[in-house]
Amino acid sequence: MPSLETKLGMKAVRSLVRQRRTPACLSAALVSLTWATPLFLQPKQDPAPFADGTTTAGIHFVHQRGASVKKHLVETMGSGCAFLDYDADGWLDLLLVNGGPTPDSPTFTFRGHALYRNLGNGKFTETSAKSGIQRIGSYGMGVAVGDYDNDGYPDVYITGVGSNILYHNNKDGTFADVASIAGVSGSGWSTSAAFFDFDNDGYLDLYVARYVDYDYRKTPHCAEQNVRTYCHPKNFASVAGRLYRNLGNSRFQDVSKESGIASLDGKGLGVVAADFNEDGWMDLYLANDTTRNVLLKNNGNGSFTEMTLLSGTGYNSEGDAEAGMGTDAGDYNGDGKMDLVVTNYDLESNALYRNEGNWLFSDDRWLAGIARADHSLLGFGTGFLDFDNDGDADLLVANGHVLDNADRVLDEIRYSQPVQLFENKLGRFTENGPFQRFATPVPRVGRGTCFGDIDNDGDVDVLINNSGQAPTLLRNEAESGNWLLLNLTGTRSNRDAVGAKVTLVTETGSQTSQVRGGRSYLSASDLRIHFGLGTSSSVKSLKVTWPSGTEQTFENLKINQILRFTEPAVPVRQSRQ
Amino acid sequence: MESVFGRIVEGRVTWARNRSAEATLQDSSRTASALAPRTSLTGGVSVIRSEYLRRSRYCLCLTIILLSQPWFLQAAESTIERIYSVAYEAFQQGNLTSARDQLIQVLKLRADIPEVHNLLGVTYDRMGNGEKARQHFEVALKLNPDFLEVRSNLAQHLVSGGNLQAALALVHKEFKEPDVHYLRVMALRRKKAYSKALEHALETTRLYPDYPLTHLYAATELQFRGELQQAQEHYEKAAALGENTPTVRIAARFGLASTLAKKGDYEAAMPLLRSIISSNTTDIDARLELGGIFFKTGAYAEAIRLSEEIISIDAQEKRAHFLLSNALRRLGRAIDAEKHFRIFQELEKTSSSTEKGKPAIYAKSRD
Repeated sequence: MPSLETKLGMKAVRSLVRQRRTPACLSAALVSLTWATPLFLQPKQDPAPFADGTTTAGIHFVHQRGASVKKHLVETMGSGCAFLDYDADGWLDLLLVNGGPTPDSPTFTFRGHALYRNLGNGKFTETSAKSGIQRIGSYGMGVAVGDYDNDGYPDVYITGVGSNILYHNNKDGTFADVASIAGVSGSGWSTSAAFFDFDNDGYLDLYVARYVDYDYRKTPHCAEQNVRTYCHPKNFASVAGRLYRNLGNSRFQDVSKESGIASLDGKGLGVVAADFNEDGWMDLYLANDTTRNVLLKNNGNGSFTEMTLLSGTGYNSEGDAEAGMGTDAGDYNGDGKMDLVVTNYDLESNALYRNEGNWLFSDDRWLAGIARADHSLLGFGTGFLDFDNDGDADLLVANGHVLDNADRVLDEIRYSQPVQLFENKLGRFTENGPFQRFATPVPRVGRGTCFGDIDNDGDVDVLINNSGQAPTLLRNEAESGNWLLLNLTGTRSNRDAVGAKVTLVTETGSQTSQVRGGRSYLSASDLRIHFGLGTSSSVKSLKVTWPSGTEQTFENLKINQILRFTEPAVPVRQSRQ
Repeated sequence: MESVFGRIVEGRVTWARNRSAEATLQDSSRTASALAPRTSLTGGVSVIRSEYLRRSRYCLCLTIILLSQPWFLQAAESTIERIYSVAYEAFQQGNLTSARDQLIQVLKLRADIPEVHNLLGVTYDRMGNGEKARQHFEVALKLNPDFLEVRSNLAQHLVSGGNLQAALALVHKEFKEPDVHYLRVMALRRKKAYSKALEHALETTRLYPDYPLTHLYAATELQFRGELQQAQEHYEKAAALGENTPTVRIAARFGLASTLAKKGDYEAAMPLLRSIISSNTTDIDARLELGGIFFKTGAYAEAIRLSEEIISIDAQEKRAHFLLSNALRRLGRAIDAEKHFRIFQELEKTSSSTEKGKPAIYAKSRD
């Protein structure tokens, strides 16, 4: 006798099939009609706005994560990437952080991190060995880029499990590890990092997020359906991040305690530095995994005050702390204020906090459409970008599960996952269909993601470091509008102008952006400010507010060009209180 | 159209909706079980009395003794009734430890009353002790194989534990086919096969288009997936088809209201929530949803009022303290806000520790 399940199920199915069976001749007619449909009757396919240009660009790096049977959590969390012009030739180069072996990894040849020089002709060439940045140290996680000594060449900070490395740019294509001398070696499991000038003294300081207190020898045995898996972070204690103050003499001082950073509890993965209340002091937002995210107000006196609770950016609207991974700040609704995006775990939704001003944010993930996306995806790298140059901030999210055996232990959730591109349409986001189908047709295990215009053609390209896989370089091929790319150089402010705010007015409206520190997940993006201008034929005015408080206004600027602005040596107008 | 599972929906409305739509699904097994005692509810105590008397007939000696000692019978009966009443009251108030202790007291006096085992099973289930819950459901079923509520509870408990076959084996002819489908949907969710669960729920709506619960299940799945327009349509169907079944109607209205709120249509959501609140003065979820809308629209005083109402109903409701804290902060009442935030944090710690080991259908995949 069949089981009740079979009996009922089959009965229903059979009855349905009987009702809906289509005669064979009709089926054949339908099939032939479909095939015979002329091309002009088929709906027009929008072209994919990006194309995978990894291989054609000459990037052959494959991330090594050192997967072991012990399932050390570090093996699945990395790694990051960066866009930086390390040789100051005007073309963005790229850096891919490699993972490494853990004590229990099977033997393999670790190839170190990868630095690729942009040849300016669409090709990149690997210069890792020559640059000295390849050094194999701790397990590689994230990267921050900043000219901490204001010498005009970007320096590189690579975080890891154990100690971190500060590579000083020697201006000749090589780097020297100065972490110990500079006092930023750190300890424990460091993740994302951000260069930003928190005390506005003209030198970039450094925030380093840290994840959990992890000991390779004490990793617990965690399982899903009796299969060993990577452990939930709840199995490990959280550790506070670190804040290093740049003393201006190539030395940093750990000011975590004095600033209040050391007392914060959280499992830090993502960080973005931006000025959320427009008082001229850069604030911090930290995306934490399973503990509440943290928003810190810069008091302007070397300390920070936690604004998480007032702002409503620590939890979802139900009061649940989510699994924050990556984060970015950007003005998605065009009101001039920095909003926040946070990527989260599967079955959660990515968060979008709209800045209402006065440290109040509204969780608008549903209203803005972000929460309607596929809940089976686990987001890591993310960023606001105007991919189609239409004048508003779109969003990109790189996804990939943490469980490398997800396909086996979870029913529908996959380890490799697609990248998502959300197009902003008047403050509401809709997923760009052609992007997923054509630009990233093969799902990957996305992690660190960085943004920048690698070919100086006025649109934003994207690089994703995929865990245990080759990276994805997405060249922007969107049919897009006009643009402007601003390269800011500070003199009284930090040379990278991190913290500078730019407001631009065209005939169609105004836009605001800031040079942010950190962003995304474990990654560093192009510091140039990109504006999509849509159909605007000129820029009526453009105001730069430098971190020093100096303001400069420019009028009637031509579009579709890269502009370099240098901060006046003498203050023009002090706007900061 | 009545069914045992129909009462599950009643459970959702009554207390499972004290969570988000997702969490409601997550805990549908708890919810379902929890309903069963409430369905005998109209007179839980009188049920016990009749059961007590019925079983007494089988024990001649005892009958003689009892007949000869009517005061004894009355006293014992009255004691059981009293303790059960206290237990039930505690259960309703969410005081599970007390409910459990009282029910164990009842079992010490009489161990063969299925309703007591059922309620104890539900209590254990809510406390996260699945093994004990299962044991008591099984005893209850053994004592009364025709006890449909407990059969439903045990079936859903088994599904939550991933044992669909055993659950289906428990399901008798008297269960409606859509309910069996619902068990399958639950089982798929348990396996984190959300697309399949949704597919199955939608298929069930096609097979049984006039059965309101199928639309309700499908709408809940759709809402979770962010398919708000479709969710709205199914909630509307469920509400229309279940117009004469208060439990279904209320559940559908709540689902519809929360979907509309997610879409930003606050004007349409608010009257629905108000109607639920007016029909159930202790409804927490509708108040939370409405409070959330007030908060979003800047009506902080109203959000505070609703949060305080919820806290007066259930002081342990952490989301009410969270909402209250946020609304108070927005009105500049930082000290009060801080106080409620601390309570929220304490409750957060407690809930995360007590929920350990509970079946979590919508758990994060790494939980």
